[in-house]
Amino acid sequence: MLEFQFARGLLHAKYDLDRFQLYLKRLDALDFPSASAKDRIQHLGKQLGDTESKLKAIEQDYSADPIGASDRLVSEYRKLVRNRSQLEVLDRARSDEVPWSLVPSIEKLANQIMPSRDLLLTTTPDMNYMVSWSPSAAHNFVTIYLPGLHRANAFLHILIAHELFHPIVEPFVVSEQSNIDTKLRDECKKLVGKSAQPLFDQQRLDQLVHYTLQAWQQILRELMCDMGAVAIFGPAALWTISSFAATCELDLEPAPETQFYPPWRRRLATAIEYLKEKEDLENKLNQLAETLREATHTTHADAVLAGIQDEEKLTKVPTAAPTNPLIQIAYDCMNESLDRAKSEVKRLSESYPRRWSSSIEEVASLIGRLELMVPPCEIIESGKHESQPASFSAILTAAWVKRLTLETTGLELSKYRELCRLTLKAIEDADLKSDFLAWKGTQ
Amino acid sequence: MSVLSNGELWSRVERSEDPLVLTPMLDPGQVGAASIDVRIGHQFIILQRSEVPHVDSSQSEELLDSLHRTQRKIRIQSKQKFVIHPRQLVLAATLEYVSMPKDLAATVEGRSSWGRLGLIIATACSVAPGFKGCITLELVNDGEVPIVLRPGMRIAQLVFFNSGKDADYRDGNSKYNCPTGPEFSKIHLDQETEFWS
Repeated sequence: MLEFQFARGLLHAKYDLDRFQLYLKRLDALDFPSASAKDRIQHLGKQLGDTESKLKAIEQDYSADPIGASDRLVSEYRKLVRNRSQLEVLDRARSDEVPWSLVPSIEKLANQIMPSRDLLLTTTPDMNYMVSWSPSAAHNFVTIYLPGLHRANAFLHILIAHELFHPIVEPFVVSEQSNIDTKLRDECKKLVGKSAQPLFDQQRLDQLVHYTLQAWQQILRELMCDMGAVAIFGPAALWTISSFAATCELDLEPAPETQFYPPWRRRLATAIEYLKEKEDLENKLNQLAETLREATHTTHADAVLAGIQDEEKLTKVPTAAPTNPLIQIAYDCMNESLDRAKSEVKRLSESYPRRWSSSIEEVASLIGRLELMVPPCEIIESGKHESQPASFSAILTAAWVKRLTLETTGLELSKYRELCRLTLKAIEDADLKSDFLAWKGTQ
Repeated sequence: MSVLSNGELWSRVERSEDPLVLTPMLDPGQVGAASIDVRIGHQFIILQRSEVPHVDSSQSEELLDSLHRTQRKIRIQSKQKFVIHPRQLVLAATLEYVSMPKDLAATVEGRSSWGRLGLIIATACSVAPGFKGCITLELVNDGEVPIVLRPGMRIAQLVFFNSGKDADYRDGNSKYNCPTGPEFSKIHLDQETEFWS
């Protein structure tokens, strides 16, 4: 790089660094719903400080080593520009951007199922939930993106649980590959056949294997994350996945254009299968219906049972086999992995003790609160002045049971919004109460 | 009309039919001899003075359009502070969500400890039977020095009265429906405004 180019490049880098530092200072002054964002601001501030020192060193080194200094300048500038997206992620994690009522509870859940990672919830203009995480051992950041437009949509945010499982199921997906590798390659080989040019056959086979492997990985990942969500939040997560799918094509075959996502109907079927096999769905639902009836919430009990039957009905619609033989191979391999995947999800979810299955007895009491149009955040026991905070999963189950009951006569948008408000307030207040009681216990 | 005492308040809280609800009740000690302490929530509405030429409730369209420009809702997380400056008006809300039985009314009273610092809870004062939601509080610092508020602090108290016959706030033209935070003024929804302007 000639001297004048180097000087311009350096000025450019210094200018951008100055803008980034200013942006970061402005973010630091704003309100975030928890300490996570501030921790990241601090981390990013340190990185920018390092960049500043490196730019100074590069400037000093130019006269002695112009080529080396120029290369380092380009490299540092690339790294700096990569940080720009982090600033936007933080900007969209402010309290007035995210559903702040949920943040502390989600962070606690994340802390239990992936204790070594730091979670940040942010929003995206996209209408999808997404997750990204750093594979670097230096920092274990996980970022979950929620659709900004659905900020107050309490029911949809149950999908966060699905995203939380992505980083933790990945080691299983990687290790499981060795169990299906041979079968997958052999099945692909049958499709290639033999020609007079073995070199081309090998190349073709490698392409097919790569394609099928990608499909298998993505199908397995998504199904495991769905199972993770239902392991934590039970039927509430199932109903949420189903309601998200209500505006999608249910049987869309996995393909590169859809990033090999499995079809919704199959996802729902696998989630139900998991609940039945690993979570004792039938008994737990009967137990829930029983407690609701005892509390004279008969219509709610009926709505719960009908709600599951409806989902089962949806998954039992016969569907055509995949038209793409590679996808059929991916499914066959996935079926081989499925039992091990279910056991792995069960193991991972058990690190969160207040799952849906252990908080069923709370639901009837919370329905009582919702019937009064009150946030269902406390478990009130008659004759006692002290009350206990409701668990996160029980609040979501109760909210869904109430929603299902309202849906039987038609759920108006205004009523839905009200239910979302009460649910978010309940999640926030239950978490606050839990912290307050823990503090009081130490006094 | 007599003020409900501690025992009467608890019996209203515990009855199964149309109970009095204040939730979350972080500490049962909030129920005092003849009142219930309420805490300040996490959300505040502040006025952006530079954006407000004036407020004229008769110009409902104009008022509605300017609401989001002239008022800003902010959220302060637990353990963080919110500073209210002398002569500043701020809208906040109770942390507790209240569900009033149809046979009870209440008034919101500032706590004298805050009053002595200059903080006035210039609230609309009464809570109607049947009201459900967090109560919006209009806070004014009438003192000489800025006052720090933190979410969760006990800010006011509710004093309850029997309302004689059942009444329901939600049966009429209720403007505030199950709010879970402070609400902007809806003065423009007053039906009579058109006649008087």
